[in-house]
Amino acid sequence: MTMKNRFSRRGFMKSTGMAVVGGGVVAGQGIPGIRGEDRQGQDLKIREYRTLGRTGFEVSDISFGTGTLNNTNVLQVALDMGVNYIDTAEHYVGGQAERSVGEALRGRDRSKIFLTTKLNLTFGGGSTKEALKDRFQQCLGRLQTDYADCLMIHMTPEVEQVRNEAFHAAFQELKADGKVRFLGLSNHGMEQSWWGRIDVPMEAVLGAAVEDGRFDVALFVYNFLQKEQGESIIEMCKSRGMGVTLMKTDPINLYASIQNSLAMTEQAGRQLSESRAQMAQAYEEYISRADAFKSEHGIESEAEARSAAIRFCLNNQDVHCVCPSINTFDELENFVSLSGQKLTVDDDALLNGYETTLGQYYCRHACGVCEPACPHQVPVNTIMRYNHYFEAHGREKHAMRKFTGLGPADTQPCLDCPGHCESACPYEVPVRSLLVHAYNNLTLD
Amino acid sequence: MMRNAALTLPLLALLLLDCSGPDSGFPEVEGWIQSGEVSIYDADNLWEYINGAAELFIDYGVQTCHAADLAADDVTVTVEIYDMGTSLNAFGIFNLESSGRGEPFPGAIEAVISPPWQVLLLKGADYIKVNLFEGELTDTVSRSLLEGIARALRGSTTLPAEFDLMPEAGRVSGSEGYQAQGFLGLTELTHCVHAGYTGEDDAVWQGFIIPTTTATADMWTALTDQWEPLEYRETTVLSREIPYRGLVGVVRTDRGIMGVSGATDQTQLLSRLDRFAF
Repeated sequence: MTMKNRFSRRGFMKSTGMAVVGGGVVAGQGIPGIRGEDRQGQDLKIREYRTLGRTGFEVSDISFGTGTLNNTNVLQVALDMGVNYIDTAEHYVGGQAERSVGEALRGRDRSKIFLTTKLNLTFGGGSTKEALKDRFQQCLGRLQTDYADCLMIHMTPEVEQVRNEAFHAAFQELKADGKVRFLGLSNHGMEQSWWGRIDVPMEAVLGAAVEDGRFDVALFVYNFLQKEQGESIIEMCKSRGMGVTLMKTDPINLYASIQNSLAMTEQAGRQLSESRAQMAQAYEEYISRADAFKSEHGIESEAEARSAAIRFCLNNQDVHCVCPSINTFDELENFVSLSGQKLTVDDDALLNGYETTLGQYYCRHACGVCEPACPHQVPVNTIMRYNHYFEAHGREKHAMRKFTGLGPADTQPCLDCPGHCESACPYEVPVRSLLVHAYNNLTLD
Repeated sequence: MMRNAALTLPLLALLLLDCSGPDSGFPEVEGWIQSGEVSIYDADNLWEYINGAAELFIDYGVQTCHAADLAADDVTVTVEIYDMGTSLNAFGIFNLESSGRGEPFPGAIEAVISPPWQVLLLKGADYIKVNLFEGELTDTVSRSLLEGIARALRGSTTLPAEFDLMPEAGRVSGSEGYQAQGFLGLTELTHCVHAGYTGEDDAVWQGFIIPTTTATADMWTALTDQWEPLEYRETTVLSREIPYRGLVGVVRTDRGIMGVSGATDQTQLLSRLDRFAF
């Protein structure tokens, strides 16, 4: 089963007694998502709205991410269900996402919808004030609207870009013209992208935005496996009344994608390289642990863990909405059904169980808490990241080259070390053994 | 271990850095000079390069992405060559990202030239995106670059053969598309080759086919379980309603599962199926 198919419409229909529409239009019966019922036997509607910081706008706790959108009718139904925050960007689906949003907005009360779009300042055809204004005007054209509620800097990679004066000047003029109301920025917490800027922590970029004071809304990474970093950013945003919108709220997705990729490779009958075979072996171990986790917590599908992960985010009242990418009715139904839900005791146990059983392989992104404890100055987080490239992404050469680039860094001392790093790690990651394992991967020894 | 590392790591570094030129999988484009190395990604790590957009490419079966900077005069571009595995996958992602604005291009299938910052090209199983990095990507420069890339790449210069499975009569020129997942917003409709059609009432509706594969029988069984059946012309028609898209209906043929959408009632649905699938 692919990620896209993870929520079974059939199972959903059967579990709720919803009729499948027949050969003709049957008024008032069973059109999924409009007149249907959700898992709790109530109307499938957004149940909670939250004030998006100082914008004052009441946004649905489940918003609509358009990163893969190509079915306008799904967004139309989402709006009917009460979703009123749309997150899009100039580059999503090559501009087609904005066109689909424009089509879906046609004939609707624009004032009831909060529409965010984004411009990337690193690429995308010019970042002078005039070029940015022109690009934004093209966004409005595709969106078929006179204004956007929020314009974000897309994938803000560095602190300098937060203070990009051409962008701010363009924004001020657009705002004065009534073409945009609020300013925002997004940050993926990524450490490497094609333009090559790396190692700027998410909290540094967003912290600079909070300090800058001109930003009204932020979109960033927060999930149950990376609580501390996200919570500190949420607190910063709260202190200045910034709206908090979230992405990557469900880190379980990533693992499943890798499993799928492996399965697809095997199904295609291609010969697995030795390194891929090693990766497959590593993930077989992961899958085995995942199965044990499911069995222990009595869950049948990963969907339940994903739902719990989203409830974890929604449980924080300083989070204003989560922004999942939605492209089918199944995905929409599942996400909207989570609206207004709180983290349950069972969820808490499940997520803790996940973290305990599977989270130990997850050396936290951009963490480095353990590094000061190392008497040999081993750059733990960096090496772990390179090993993650090697094992999880199958990007062996890149990882080895990066490791070579560290120069004299070596994990040999780890062999005889009592493991100061492990004592310092707040997540109980088996750092020392993982470092040795990483060294084996990243060198030809 | 340190001694071994001292010997092997410099050699390793040399080997790894040499990933450009004829063996890099990246074509030499006449008039353009490659700067820097070629970055190579696959489905497992593409997200690292293009972030969330990778999900879409994975849906469309991306095999590899080769990316490199090319420079000529005062223009520098980043060229990304996505090997999508099949020409149908490449067409699908190209069509989606170009919003159907492709124009026939010599030596390739289609291109979208939209100065000043991005151009797209489709040839065989390759989908090529060119993003401006420095300078100005004029129409002339864009065409020259794309011609060079098209010459350097192998692959078909015609639409994928799957489109021949749909009738030509009534088809709206340029309306062809391919959606790998969630066609019409329905999880159960995957790998749909589609096009717009016009009928007697001048309305444009969509006809689609899921070409026959080893998975067709399972897909039909799943649809039978979820959609409403009716017998028509001695075959089973399955149908259902879709919000904002009216009725959709499918039949199973030797070419694949063929369907139409956008009907207002059963009569119109069967009439369109008559023209499209029988």
